[in-house]
Amino acid sequence: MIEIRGLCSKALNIDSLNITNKGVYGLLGNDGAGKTSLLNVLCGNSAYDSGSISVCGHDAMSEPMEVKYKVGFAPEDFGFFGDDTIFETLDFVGTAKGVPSEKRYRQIKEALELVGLEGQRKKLCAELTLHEKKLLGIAVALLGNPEIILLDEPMKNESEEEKEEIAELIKMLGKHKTAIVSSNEPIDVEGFCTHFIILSKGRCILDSSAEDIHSAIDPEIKACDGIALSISDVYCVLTHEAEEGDK
Amino acid sequence: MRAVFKREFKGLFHDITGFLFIAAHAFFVGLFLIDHCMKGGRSDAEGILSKMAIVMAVLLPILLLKIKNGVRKDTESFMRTLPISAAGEVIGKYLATLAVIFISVILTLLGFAFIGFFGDINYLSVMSALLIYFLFSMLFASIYLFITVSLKGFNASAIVCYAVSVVIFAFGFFGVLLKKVGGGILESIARRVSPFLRVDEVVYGIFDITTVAYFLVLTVLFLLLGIFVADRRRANARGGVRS
Repeated sequence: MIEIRGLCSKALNIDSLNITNKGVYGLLGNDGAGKTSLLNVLCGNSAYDSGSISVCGHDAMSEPMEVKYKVGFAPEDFGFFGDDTIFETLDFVGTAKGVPSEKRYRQIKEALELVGLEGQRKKLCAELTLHEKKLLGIAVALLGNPEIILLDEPMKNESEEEKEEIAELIKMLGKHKTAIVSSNEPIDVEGFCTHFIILSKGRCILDSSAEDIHSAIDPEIKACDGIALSISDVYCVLTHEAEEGDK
Repeated sequence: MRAVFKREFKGLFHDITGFLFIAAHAFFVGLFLIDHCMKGGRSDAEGILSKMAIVMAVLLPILLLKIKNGVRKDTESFMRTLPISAAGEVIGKYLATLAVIFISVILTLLGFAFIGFFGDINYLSVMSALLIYFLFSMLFASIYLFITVSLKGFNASAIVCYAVSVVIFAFGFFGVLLKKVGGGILESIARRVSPFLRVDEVVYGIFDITTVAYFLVLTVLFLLLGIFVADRRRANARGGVRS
């Protein structure tokens, strides 16, 4: 599905990374770790210096348009056209993704129902709250029925209730698609991710399933506590180790 | 391209811009028809298209600047997440502008048909003059689109659009002046190059296929330039190309 080999760019340096299964992948890392940069290269938005990225069989560098048909991307700051309504925005995206009209209206209806905005289809984007913008971003990413959904910091600046709503939504998406969700707060995503990728200064320091993640940590550290470590603990230890190693 | 066309065309009628353009265009058509045909007692309604060419050159930036005004840095990044090529984006915007121009031209034709009730109208002359007028509008739309795509600022785009239209008009005016003092090669060049004088020729009965070719070639050229600039801008935003 996604295959990265020897990726090198200004912000990224990843030797190898494979994403082959459906599920929710938590992309974790501190600010500046390269999460947004990685999502941008994965959807063909950004170029890179060397290496290769294959997304659903398409090269992200030379075939960015084909990649954009396969990937739905919801950036952290979605700049919707303020004078368009929610429906017009989704209709625009569906048309841009080449979805035939009948199918498009059905997909828009389904996406709006899924994110809970079906009653606000006539609301102008300029009037949306941050949470509604994030929900619309997810709806936009779903149009065209892409195999992969990339969500950049969907939980950022959200209240606990809103985070729970988005978490439920992402959990549901992970059953049918590959969703990659970035966050610098592991606690926000650890409840629903099936896999974790941790970045530190552009390097991938962990790529593991949720079940296997504990084995990635030094057994001695585990023994010190004598209790099961959470993803947040693992994240802290690994990023700390990576930063120490760089020094 | 279809998505951009639909969005931009609707966008032009989200506020008064599209209506204002069509209304202002229709107002000047009516005004000139009253002056030229009603008061002048003439039935060659297409005669007003020389003046309308100036009106079109002045009104058209309103549409292109409205389209430009809708594009901010964050909406540009939104567009980049979608499978829309630079060519699709530029041509979509261009077609949205042309659609509004087309509505105005159709209304102009209705105005001419109205004049037909009061006198004999040579519909062949009218249609050929309207065709050239539409081609003239297509050319100016492509020039203004190229300017608005190339320049980042709204104000800078507005100033350059109007400055360019003044320069093009002055060039034609220069040709007319030269004709009055005896013509020569400079007048011949001005007549061949100025789009305003090209419209004049057709309006006064000289329909030349090279005029059609002239407008089409220049329109395509400016559209290609606009696509090239938009493509370069996207490549820069994407972080360049692999070395």
